[in-house]
Amino acid sequence: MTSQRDRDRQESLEQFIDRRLDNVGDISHGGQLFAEVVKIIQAVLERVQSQVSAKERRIAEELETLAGVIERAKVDVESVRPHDIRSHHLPLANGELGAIASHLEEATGTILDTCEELEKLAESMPDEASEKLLECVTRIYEACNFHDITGQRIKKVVDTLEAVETRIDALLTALGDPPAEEPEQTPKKPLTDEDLLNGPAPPGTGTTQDEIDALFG
Amino acid sequence: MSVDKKMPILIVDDYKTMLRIIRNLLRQLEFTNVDEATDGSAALAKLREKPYGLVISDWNMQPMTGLELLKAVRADPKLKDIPFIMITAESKTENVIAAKQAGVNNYIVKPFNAETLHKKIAMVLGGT
Repeated sequence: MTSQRDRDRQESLEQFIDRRLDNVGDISHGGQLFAEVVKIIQAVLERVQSQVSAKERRIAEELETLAGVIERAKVDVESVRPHDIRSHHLPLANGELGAIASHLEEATGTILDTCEELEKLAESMPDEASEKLLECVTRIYEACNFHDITGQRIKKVVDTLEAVETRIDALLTALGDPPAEEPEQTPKKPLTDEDLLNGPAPPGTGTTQDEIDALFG
Repeated sequence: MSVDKKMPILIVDDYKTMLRIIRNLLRQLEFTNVDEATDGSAALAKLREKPYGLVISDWNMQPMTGLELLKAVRADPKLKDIPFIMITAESKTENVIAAKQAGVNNYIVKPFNAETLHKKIAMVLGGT
């Protein structure tokens, strides 16, 4: 009876690689794919090492180096903690940008409301003063262009962050560690003084003045 | 040539702040008959309902951009002659060329000032 090992020896190296690569097509999960590629490299190494030609030995060495590079790349990527970037830093940056856009819109709205009141007030003022006031109001309108421009710049940054997130997802999937659907809950630990320095809270998440007053009785 | 300050003007921008700014600057130029739309498709619907004397539109809007609106206006036999000014942050030469090729009458880059708006309207409408 012919064993699998005997059959492997009988087929050419090219046939052997083709047969193993055919199986890869059935594997959809990134991690399995990665593991299968490493297995193939190892299997090819074993095959090549059993043959003695100098050329094939060089190929084996190259493949061995390649496997080492892949392993090191995986360790390097893991060391930058892509899950943290994906689940904490990027959502935080997105939230802050959203809050900036919201504050800008609110502040610009208030400025424009005030300008419109000033324009009405100008109607009841002496001509010279009225004209001067309207000139000032016009300059404020012109300056309020900033809202549109900054809004578009913020959108560009948000789009860039989304692109970074997509690439991190792809990287994590390729490494066999796809991003979780829900952000991982990190266990609570006592707050340090540094933990308390968070700057302005995103809209709707901070403590209101009334709530603070209530804490003081 | 004097311009009818009561002619209807349509301003198009997805930023409500910009609509307010342009409306207020137009009011200071004594144009008081001003309607608003927040994207190209809403603007096109308004243009087909009422005869406007001028369109002042942003470029970067969804779902229909200002350039698409301009092309739709120029392709419509009933709307094709409406003066059209683009006010946009898109300041690359290729943008200006594309707008010009599509038939824009004038082009203002954001941020802009009241004097520029006044001058461009005067150029497009032939005096204010």
